[in-house]
Amino acid sequence: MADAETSCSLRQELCKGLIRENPTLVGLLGMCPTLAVTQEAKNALGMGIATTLVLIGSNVVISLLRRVIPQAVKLPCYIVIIAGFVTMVEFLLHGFVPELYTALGTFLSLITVNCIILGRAELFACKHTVIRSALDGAGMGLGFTLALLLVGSVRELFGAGTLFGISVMEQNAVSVLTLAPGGFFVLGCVIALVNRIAHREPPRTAGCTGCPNAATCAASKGGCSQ
Amino acid sequence: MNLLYVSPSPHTSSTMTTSRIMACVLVALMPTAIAGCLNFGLRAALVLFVSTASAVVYEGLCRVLMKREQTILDGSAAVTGLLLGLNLPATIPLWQVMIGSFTAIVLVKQLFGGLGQNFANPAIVGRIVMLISFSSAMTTWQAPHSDAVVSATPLVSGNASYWDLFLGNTAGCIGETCAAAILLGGLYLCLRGIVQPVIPAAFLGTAALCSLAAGDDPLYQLLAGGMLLGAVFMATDYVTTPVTTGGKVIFGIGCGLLTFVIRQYGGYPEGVSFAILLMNLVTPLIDRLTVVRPFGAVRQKQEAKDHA
Amino acid sequence: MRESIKAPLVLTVISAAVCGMLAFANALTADKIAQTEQAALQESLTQAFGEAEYTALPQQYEGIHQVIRDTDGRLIFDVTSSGYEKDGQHLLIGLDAEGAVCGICVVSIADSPTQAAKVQEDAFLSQFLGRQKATDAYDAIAGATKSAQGIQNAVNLVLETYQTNKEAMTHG
Repeated sequence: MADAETSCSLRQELCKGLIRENPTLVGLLGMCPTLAVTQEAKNALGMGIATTLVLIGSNVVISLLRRVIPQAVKLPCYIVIIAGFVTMVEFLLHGFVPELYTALGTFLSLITVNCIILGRAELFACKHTVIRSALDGAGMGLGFTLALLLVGSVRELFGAGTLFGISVMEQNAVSVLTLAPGGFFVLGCVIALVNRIAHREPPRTAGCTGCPNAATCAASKGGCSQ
Repeated sequence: MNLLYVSPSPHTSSTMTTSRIMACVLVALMPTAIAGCLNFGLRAALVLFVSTASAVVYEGLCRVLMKREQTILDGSAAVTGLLLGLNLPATIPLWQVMIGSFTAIVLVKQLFGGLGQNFANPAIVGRIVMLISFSSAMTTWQAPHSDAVVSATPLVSGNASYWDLFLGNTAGCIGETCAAAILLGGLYLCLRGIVQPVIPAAFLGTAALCSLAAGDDPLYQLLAGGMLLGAVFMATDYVTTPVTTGGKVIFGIGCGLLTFVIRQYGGYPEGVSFAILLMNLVTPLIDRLTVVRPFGAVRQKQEAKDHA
Repeated sequence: MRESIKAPLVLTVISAAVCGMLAFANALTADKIAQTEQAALQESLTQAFGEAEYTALPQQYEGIHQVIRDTDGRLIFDVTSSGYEKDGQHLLIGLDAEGAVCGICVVSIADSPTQAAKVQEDAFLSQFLGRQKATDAYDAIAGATKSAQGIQNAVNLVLETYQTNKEAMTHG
């Protein structure tokens, strides 16, 4: 399979995943861990870092093997590779950061089926060079971590009154935010906010030439903004 | 404003507008509000004022920010705010009241499109969110005519007399204690034709039958807790309840059953708000099941048989 | 190479390679993991029941992870109970030499923070101290009924298991 053409610079590969194409807030992928582990900001951060490691690792390996893996078994191969990385991350966390391991629980294993990882493997890593894939993985992973951190901080701060465990306003907490309904509220608001910021493009004004409605359109006298 | 309407038949006109209906509901809520303030003092009045005013302000702000026509004058925000306030204990901190009315007006009503588009009764959802968020503040009530604070309503303690329950001489939320005032308001709404007594009758009837079957005192179960307030004012909201009478019966029975089950077997002592919310969510299905056949319509299967 | 052979072959090779790497990673970290678990258990035990020499008994009983005996003759039961979430409560329940409950330590609890806090209060847990028989009556907490029930069930299970296997546990 020939590599895809791309006009992005290396820096752009890294940065596009942060806000403009943020996988969670703009692409709406990986919602499950976003809602599940963001009750506490430090769990959110941990999950984000674990996912980023897996994403970079799997993107690199899949990119290295992109000319070897046949189309027919593409998906099983990707899943096996991703699962391998997730298991290694699990071992590492279990041995060295057991608190995070117990806090994340099942969701650590579920990183395997996080749509972001498979999505980037399918869309990007199998068609681009190793360096670009690694940067893309890093950017998307960081974007995911950013999204998780944002939602997690709001939920923890206003829902439990603490931030990273430091008590700030425990008396006046709105506990619904640490529960599922509140998670959805916060997620919705964050998505709305980030989309507003990320897609603030100036209104395009086109002339009436080439517009099929030009003859009948009342606005043609004053120009239209389509 | 449009003075000429072009519309298909039937061409009828009525003086009933949204504002008139909401005004009637506000009038019907007055006895309950006044009884609550008499029982629980100035703090209750303050809570009611804050909940109503903040609801109206939130709705006004939302409409301005969303660049839509202003709807605060139709009174629906005020009704929602007042109903929410009546569902709260008199001792609740005011900032929590404001969060509750934010949830009710902004999240449940305005974000979904405003009046007529909400998926559930806004006051109910506001109350439930407050119950989950501020569980300790929402479960401490003021004793009537005093400053004492109690943590169990007569529904839990089971030792209030019928007369006390009827007149509201018990601890509880501002609007749910005085059964007499609620019934008065309900009667007014029925007489004005705003509310069909179908849902309250089905709701209360089912709950009474269930508690009879379970061996509890049905009258006590009806008078204690928020069932009367819920059945009369919140389960009869036009937007979130079925359209047809048959559908309303199903809705009422469902609410009664769920309230009984939650009170009996669930972890919460009070099941009315959850029951109404769950039935609100099911209302579209009920509407689909109880579609009224237009006059003269023949079922398609039979037509095929006739032609065959 | 024929396409129909290449595909499964590549998949097999990749799977084998990944398994190999995982076996390697496991070998590297298995000891560390066992060490961490043991340290965590030791820490909970010390926190709840004080410094002592703890040995785990080899017998396995239904519903109980392990029974630990210390030098004073106390038996500590490592149990998992269902509160609001299935198997969400990990408890250490200690019985003294006479078989009465002498301490309950909540290692981890998966219920929501308010419920978790309520059932860990001394006011609630102290009602179980000194119990020797499994009973049905207990003081629940309003608003945390499921979590409280989970702890009650755990205590009952421990007491029943103790009653049936007293001999084996104290002298085994």
